[in-house]
Amino acid sequence: MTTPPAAPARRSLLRVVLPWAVTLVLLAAAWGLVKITLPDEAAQAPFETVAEIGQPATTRNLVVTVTDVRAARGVTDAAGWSAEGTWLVVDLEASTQVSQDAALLGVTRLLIGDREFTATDRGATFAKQRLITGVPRAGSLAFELPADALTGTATLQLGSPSGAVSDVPLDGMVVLTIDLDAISVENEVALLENGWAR
Amino acid sequence: MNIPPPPLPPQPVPPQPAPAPRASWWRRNRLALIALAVLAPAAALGIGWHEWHQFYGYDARPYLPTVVDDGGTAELAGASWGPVRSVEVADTTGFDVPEGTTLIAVAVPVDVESSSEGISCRTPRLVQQQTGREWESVRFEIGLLSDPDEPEFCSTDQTGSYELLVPFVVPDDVEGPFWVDVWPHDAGGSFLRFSVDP
Repeated sequence: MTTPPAAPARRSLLRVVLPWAVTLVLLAAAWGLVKITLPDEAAQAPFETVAEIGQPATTRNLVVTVTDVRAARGVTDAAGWSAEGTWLVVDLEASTQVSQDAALLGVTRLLIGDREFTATDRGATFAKQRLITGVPRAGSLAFELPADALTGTATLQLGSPSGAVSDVPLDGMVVLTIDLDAISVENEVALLENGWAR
Repeated sequence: MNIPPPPLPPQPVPPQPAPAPRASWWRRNRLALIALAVLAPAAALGIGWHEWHQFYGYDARPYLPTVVDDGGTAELAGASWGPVRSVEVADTTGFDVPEGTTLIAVAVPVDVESSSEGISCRTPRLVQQQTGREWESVRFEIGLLSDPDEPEFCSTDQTGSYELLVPFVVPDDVEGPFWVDVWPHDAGGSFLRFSVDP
């Protein structure tokens, strides 16, 4: 009586295939893990509060009401400074909730597609203005943009950094989506004078 | 005829010498356990102290309050402070104060002990005792310029006795009592909390 030759052959085939199969499964799992892992900065990403025009948006320490969004080919401020160009002007009221420790409107970013713009520090604008607890201050932020940038959708990010100067890690950030196509471009707009919100 | 000898009854197995009783796991690892009991708390303390020092060290923040009762005085960092007075300014004509808010003026008498060198301190801040909300001076926001006769902070140039005068704008719905926090620069993390109820 002889043992059927198939059994040992199958066993040796298994011995060759199994490690490869396990390797492939592990590689696929590793690839999937890399794909679903969030980027490094995600652990410290800000908590976003979605704002609407005219509605107060509240984060941990910052309350912002965007009152208007305007676009123009030139801006002037209350002191008489003016500049030509392509501008997006955001009128807003802002205050702190709890603490005025280093409470400035330090994060003022506008994202259009892949491009990121920061509110201008020229002229008298609300950029880096001091905020007061419970008593809103009002003013305008002005973003100088390339001439072709006023199309599509833009995202406005506002925050009051408590540590790093230009970011709000692990803190609240107000986010407003702006439909640039719906905004009519004026010849010139006047920036609001910084002061108490009336 | 050869008669085999009858089978012998089984000999009792000579008792093996009993193995020395093994020392317990705790006893065998006592050196490592003692080291663990010392090193684990030491590591926790060391890391905790380092983190604490990064945040509160280098005189970066006041964290040790000395509470001063209504109308009381206190000594700190080479000066005598108080008694602190506070008042709700009823007539705000001439000041830029928004509606729905209260203008609170706080006076902090300072008496420097040394006749040759003054002390320096931050502008006092107002803290609502119930909630911990904080307010800082709004001298510029209400339309006042800096005035050496009404200092807001202590300067090393100034000796003798003088008085800090600090205005705050607080929403009408915020009720006292408040703390007035005074933090001299040479006091390390110590600061004075004066209780006021304007």
